[in-house]
Amino acid sequence: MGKKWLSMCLVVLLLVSGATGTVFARDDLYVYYLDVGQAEATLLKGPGFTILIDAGDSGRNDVVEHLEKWHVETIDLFIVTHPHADHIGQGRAVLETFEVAEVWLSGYEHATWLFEDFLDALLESEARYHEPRRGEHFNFGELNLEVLNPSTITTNLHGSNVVVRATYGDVTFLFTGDAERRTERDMLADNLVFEAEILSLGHHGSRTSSSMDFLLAVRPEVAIFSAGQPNSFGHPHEEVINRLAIVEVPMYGTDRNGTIIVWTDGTDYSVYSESGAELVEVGVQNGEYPDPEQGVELNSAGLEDLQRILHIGPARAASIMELRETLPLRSVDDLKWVPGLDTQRIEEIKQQGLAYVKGVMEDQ
Amino acid sequence: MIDRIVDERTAVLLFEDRERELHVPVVLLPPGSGEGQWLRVRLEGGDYVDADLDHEKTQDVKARISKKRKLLLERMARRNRDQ
Repeated sequence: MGKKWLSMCLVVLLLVSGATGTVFARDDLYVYYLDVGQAEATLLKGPGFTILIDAGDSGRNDVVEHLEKWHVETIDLFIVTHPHADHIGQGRAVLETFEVAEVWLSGYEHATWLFEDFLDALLESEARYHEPRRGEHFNFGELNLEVLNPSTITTNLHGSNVVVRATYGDVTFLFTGDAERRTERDMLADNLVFEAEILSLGHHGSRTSSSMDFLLAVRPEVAIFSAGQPNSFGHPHEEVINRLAIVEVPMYGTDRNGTIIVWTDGTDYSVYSESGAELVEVGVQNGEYPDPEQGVELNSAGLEDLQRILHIGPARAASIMELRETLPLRSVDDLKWVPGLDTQRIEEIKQQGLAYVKGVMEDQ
Repeated sequence: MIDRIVDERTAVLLFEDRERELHVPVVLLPPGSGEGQWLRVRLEGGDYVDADLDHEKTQDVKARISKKRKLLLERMARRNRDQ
């Protein structure tokens, strides 16, 4: 493997890659982790091929705009990792706007109007259709695409999630979609090769994904997740941030950075933000999470202690204590279940930096 | 319908009018709820009150989706044969 280097802000590359009007250098691959809010869409644009993985959220209208900005006209392969609305959301718009040669779906039949609408659009299009299975390999120019999941369709939608490993020269990317722990375990049990320089963290950085065993198998140098800022699910979760900190892998999100771009020539690679601003890393070391000695742990603090938190008076403190009896809080964002605490107030609580939930290393 | 259950605790509901999305704690959904299940939801002031499972609707949509997937697979099989 060649020397890898990571650039926080690479102005020269921005000029070459063409934040304004792209002329791709021969043999260069650009991977765009698009800023599509609390959803996912990733574009791979290399010499002779364009691949789109997922299509953002059904409640937004930004994927086509992103793709047009990066001068996409045709798409050789459109992979929908799974049919949840935050991944297949704008799939119809993609099919109607661009000439799409081939579409991959896992084959899981999700009974939603959105998925049915996507199938209708697919039937109206001329795109080829394939349901990829573990062990298949495909070449798109110099890019090798290996299917790691699914091996078969399961009754669990995330279990059927399409996972692909894309190798370009010496540089490898792993795209996990919303694959969760049980899927990670299933793949690990099959003795596949997982190693990848760039890992797309599963399920927007949720604690349900990115188990330590999986991270140790992938051995990423950089981890990227796609999430909205703010989002009501609390992604990325503290447990995942802690795991990445343990394995000393920098973690970047579209929530803090907007669209994140990885450039590679198959030997070296660099990671930078579309905006040109220095990439902001997520991490405990950034002081984003309070010192447990000073903070208020939401599942164990008493009535009086809870009231040290902004916007929490006696009534809301009592509500928290009642809530946690049946629904232990798993992140500060779970305060959304407390009457009167909206997203804005929860953000202010986070900024105050006192409230926290004791992290659980669930898969340890 | 239930589009997804996030982190095993929050259900994301999509509505047939295609304009709304609602997040509901899973514990408030009727027993037997799961992803892809259609519901008859009662709202008050836009907030979730309760819901019943709509088995008939779920089965109808499942059957249509299954048929459309089969059409896609058959179309591809024909194209592959013709090549």
